[in-house]
Amino acid sequence: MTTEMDDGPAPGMDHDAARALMAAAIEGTLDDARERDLAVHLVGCAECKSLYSRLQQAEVALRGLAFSHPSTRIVDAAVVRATTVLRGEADPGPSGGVTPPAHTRAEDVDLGAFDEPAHAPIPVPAPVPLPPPTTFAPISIEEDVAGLVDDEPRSVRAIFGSSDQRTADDEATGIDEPEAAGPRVTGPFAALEAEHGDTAQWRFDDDVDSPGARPFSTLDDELTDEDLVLPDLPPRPGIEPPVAEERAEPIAAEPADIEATPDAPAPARRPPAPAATARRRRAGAGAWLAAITAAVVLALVAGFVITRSQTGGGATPTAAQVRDRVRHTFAQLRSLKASFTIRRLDLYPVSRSGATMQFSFSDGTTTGRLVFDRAEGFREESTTDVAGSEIATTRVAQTVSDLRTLQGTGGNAKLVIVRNPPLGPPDGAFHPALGSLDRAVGSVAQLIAGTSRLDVLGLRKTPDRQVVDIRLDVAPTELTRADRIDVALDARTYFPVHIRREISRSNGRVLAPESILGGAALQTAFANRDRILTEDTVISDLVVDDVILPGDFVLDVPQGASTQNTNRSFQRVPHADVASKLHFTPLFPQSVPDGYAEQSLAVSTGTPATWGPNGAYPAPDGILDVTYFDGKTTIVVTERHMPHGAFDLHGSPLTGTTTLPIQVTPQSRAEKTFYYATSPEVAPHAYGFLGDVFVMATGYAPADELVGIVASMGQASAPSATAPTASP
Amino acid sequence: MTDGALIRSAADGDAAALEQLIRDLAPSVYAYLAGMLGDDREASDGIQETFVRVARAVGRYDADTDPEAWVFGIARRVAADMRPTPASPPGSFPPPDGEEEEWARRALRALPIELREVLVCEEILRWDLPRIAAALGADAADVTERMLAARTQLADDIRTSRA
Repeated sequence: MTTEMDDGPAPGMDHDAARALMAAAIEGTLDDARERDLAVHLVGCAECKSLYSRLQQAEVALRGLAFSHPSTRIVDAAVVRATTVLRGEADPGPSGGVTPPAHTRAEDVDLGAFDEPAHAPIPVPAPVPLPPPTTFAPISIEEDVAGLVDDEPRSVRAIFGSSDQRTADDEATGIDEPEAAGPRVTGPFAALEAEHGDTAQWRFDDDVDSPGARPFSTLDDELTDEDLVLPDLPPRPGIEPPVAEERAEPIAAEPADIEATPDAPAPARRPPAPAATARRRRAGAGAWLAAITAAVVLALVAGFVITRSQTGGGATPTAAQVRDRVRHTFAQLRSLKASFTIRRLDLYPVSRSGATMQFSFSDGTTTGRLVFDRAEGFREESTTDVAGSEIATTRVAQTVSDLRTLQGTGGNAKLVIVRNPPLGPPDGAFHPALGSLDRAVGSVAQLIAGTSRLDVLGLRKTPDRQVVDIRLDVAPTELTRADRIDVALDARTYFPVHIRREISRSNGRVLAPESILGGAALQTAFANRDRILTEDTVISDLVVDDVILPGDFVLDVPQGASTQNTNRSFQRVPHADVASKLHFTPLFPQSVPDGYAEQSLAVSTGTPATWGPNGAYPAPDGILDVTYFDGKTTIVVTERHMPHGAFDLHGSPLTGTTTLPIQVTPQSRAEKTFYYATSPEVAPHAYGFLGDVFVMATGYAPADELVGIVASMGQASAPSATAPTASP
Repeated sequence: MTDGALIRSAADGDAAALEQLIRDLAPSVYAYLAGMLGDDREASDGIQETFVRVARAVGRYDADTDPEAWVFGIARRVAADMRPTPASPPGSFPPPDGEEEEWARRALRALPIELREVLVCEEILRWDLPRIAAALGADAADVTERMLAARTQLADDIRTSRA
């Protein structure tokens, strides 16, 4: 390893310490104070400055490396060889049938092309202020929550059975105060700016506290022209990577240079001096020149640090890079820890009178904490407030084997343990799931990965992370609930950390069925505004892909709480054993949307019961649940074998004995009729009969995907399960 | 089923478990090998070889070992076998327009394997430090030091290319 130790000591720190800070700066983990220390050191150490410049150039090149995805054929070949060896047979050797694609990267997986037009990061527009909490005239809807059947995918709310225990799996929360408009200068320089005003007046000898730092005045005689050259910022996309400057003989700044600089924006890098002017006289020791030089150096360094504070110092990714990174993040997501606040304009149950639940179209705020492990399950604790009143609490831990829900608080609390629950969102056995974030974040990830209308607004540094701001123009639907979505992605993980959904008045009808909202509700929501914020999700304390320990799924049960055990009798079975566990031939989708893979199967071993609206549908003689997951969204396929054949469906099966506001739309596929149903209260679902088997697909997926799944189901074995991948 | 459980099931002869393990880990193992070997064709050979070795070794898997680290340890040995020594420096910098990624791949190949892999894990797999450390069986401080050393060598390559 080559070192850069041949210069004399530099102010503030030695070379090794500076190199450690450079490494942290390159990785974006340098805090503001240490960034300032590094900047100070670089002013006085030409060698370190040169090294830092080259490290940045190397980093730019490295960031161009793409994530190469294996084609299905490559993976299949590996499976064939490995399983052959596992069976004790001779290794067939490298598969000749596997021809690596000429270019295995999807077109938008190209992280290497810095082909975006060069531009400075665009400040994120000022957030649209949230309208004040608005509560509309309650809408009375009959709902007998005690009578819910529980082998259907439905909202967690239904599981809990009472308004004070309903979860917010579909519903949501609110947010912290909107961030201040535009980029923010953070860290010590922001404080200095506030305190001292003109940054050109800053004095390092007041600010530098690093060990060994010397007052700036002692550096006067050592300042050279190179001191005036800013450490290079990473080049913007589209700009040729900067060429390291040849080290020029130390020179002094001419007064003309100095005078011009403070008024001019600090350049990203200073062009090499022409040969004719490269050699100038060495700096004199005149006090006036040194003072002005010092001011310029300080201004330039401050500009550098401030710029890095605002932008994080990285290169703005292209839209294709953003799509790929988000797709990859969610496809590979193994675990997540996050706190969240979701503020959502939606239909909420706000009171109950007997069997009558009253709903209100309101701003609701759900605040909580989620721990998710793709292999194990999730734990979520959250509360939902509407119009200042807490209407729901969620304390739930769900693993493969059971669902634990803590109801109530203190000594009156009850821990309800449901063992062997069915699969299916969001009835508690939704596995895996992002809990409340499944709807708020998972759908946005899906939109980002699939959209062609994505603008990268720029990089921004927040107090706790660097983010990539993007904007999506989306089709307004009951799922997107927006026509424009602004997303701040954590620049490290590309996980969304702030999502703002907006919708225009003309598109507001998608927020809920007209039959539920009525004309006045939307009018009240929009008032005199053309656009409103429909959902604002803020995620904090984000940890992606950390190790999740079993203890993370344990609920903190108050002393004295009682425990209620229930066995739902849904047995998890391997795919190969499904047929032997059922009295009918199971159906499987013959095609699933890109990226989805079969995750788990469960068959009912309990006593069949009636189901559907008011329990009007006869008992099946077998139930099978199958989940499919694409790294972002879970779709659950449920099928019931009806021994006496198909019958007329007169409502969504999720209606149960309630009158939940579910809107059903007929959909035709291959001369068969299926139904697509949506509601603020349950996940979207598509259903219908195929012969004597009732099939239903449930999940936060577009209608075409859900209906397509049920329409494609047949007796052939399901497509070979493939791991979700980020490539199409 | 966790990766560890899949490995244990595979050790009992469950081919479906091995297949699931392969499909779970194939994207990251392939990307790792593509970065380590600098060539997609070699990576496709490498991923087959990696999982063949996994199939042969499942019986020796220690349940206390991080399964991903265990598989990546095998992938690392495959990469080392296929490309045991660093290649020559990546050539002039800056590269011509449109060849930045190729330059970066050449630059990676010019690094010793212990330096190359930390950059592959960070820059291509986009793993964070704890995960890199876990997968490589190293401590975080060692990984950090290797990252700096790797970047420093790349910086030297850039300087040399201009000399």
